[in-house]
Amino acid sequence: MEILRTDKLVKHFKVKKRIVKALDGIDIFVKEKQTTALVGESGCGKTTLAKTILGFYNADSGKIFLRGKDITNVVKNRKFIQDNIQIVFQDPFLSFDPRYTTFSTLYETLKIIRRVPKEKGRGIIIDILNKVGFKEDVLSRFPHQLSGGQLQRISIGRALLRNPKIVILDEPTSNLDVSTTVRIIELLDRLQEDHSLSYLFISHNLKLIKNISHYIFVMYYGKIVEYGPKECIWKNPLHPYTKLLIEASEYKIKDVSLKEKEDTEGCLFKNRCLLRSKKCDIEPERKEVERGHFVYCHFV
Amino acid sequence: MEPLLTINNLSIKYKEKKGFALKNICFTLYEGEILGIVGESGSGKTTLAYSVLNILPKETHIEGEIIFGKNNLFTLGERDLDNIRGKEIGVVFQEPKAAFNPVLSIGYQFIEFLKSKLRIKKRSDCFKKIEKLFSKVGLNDTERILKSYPHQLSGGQLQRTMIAMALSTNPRLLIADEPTSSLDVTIESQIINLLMRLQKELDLTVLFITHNLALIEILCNQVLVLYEGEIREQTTKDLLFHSPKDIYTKKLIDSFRKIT
Repeated sequence: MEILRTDKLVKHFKVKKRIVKALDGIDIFVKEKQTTALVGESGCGKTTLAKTILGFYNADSGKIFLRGKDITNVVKNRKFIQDNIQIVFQDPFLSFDPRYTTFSTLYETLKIIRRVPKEKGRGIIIDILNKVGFKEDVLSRFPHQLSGGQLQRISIGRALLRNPKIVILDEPTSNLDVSTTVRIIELLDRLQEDHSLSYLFISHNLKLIKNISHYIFVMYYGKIVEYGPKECIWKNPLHPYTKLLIEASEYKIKDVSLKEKEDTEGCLFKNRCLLRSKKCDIEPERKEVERGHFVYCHFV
Repeated sequence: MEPLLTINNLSIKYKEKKGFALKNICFTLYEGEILGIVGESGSGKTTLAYSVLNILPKETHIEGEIIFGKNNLFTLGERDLDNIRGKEIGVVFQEPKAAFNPVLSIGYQFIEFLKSKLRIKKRSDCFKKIEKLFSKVGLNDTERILKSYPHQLSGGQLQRTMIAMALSTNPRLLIADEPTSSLDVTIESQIINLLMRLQKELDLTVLFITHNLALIEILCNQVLVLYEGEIREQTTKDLLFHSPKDIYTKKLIDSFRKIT
């Protein structure tokens, strides 16, 4: 069942008289108790999508549905959104107040949810910290005394304090090294089982996503270009951009020159595409290639 | 093959820290080789790069010696060191945005570098040299990039500029300290292939520092595994992936296999 769905979500930003189409008609969905991955290179709008879903930005048009309820109006639905969706940000050093101990950070979050006296709050916080693999001694530590991986685990704990249904993971491991990444991924796996969580996993690393996701959306400059179940995307990538990403994750791109993305009509990817032809000036339509596997490209 | 860089019993202890940042490091890097140094964050990788450049903080406790060519880097005077740093040893750092001065244009910084290291006097000569270097690293519009300030360029463009700068002096050794870990996959792939191509073309000797075993797998001949300042394993690439000896190395390769 779909727990979260966006319907033609649009968000444009004005930067120095130019319009940046961060989201340009995005349809994605997150299924219950599954991990949905969103891939794309930096600047393609992944984080904007996360922030729009959370209500940090108001969408220009389009709708967002959470458990069947329209939550596009952020102001009216703020509590409902916060109760259901929480987020873990990319840079753990930026997502904590450097002057707060772990306890004060988490207690602050707890106070927003409900009024609890300090002693009782302490119990709840220790419970959560145990779940993410900490002992009591971490309560009095400051962010600079903890490593990136430890902070990221506390971040996950903080997201769980509110018992959300969905956790958005915005590149949670891109600042961490290999062994820490594995530890975090295993922790996320376990928590998904225990708390029946749904994840929206944002990343630029296809290899990582291959191991953890059930469903993949590939995004390119404000648009979804291909989506489908993980096996389909991995075994049978059809959009040239998806193929490029897979090649990149194996370090096979030999092309050394940089091609910049320009504002174009029609298919956005055409400037970097080898298959380019006249057809590409028209925007490609969605085609279903296998069950549940969709692609936006003229050559499929 | 001639040994280019020899490190003997190097131990380093920072002033305010308790333990050693590096303990008894010994290795030799031969000309034309790519040596990969792999380890987690905090394992001493960057300290090693800094000590080869001799840019550690003043009151750091240093034991052992680093021999580059025929010189012991720790006994050289500041002036001789200046001739080695950036000239005979080129460096590409991890964070391209932090490696440039944000209030000076790229052109100003590049020309300044060429003037001081290569003693090129004329601006037009600098410009010609830069144009040649830029085409090597796949940057096309030289003029625009030279006029830009670091924040106006993307991470990939800055890292290419960085590589062009490092190679402008024809260094004998290139130190690449996690050159791609702040870039995204497509750009990372391009930069890595660029480095591979340049290494072959110019027959560079490279000290490649990374935490990403995938990069070791495609780039390096020799590998050194660092953990908490100690060398845990020193071997060739093939042996590392097929029959790792050390327990820590085994774990590292296991976790690497899990996410690839």
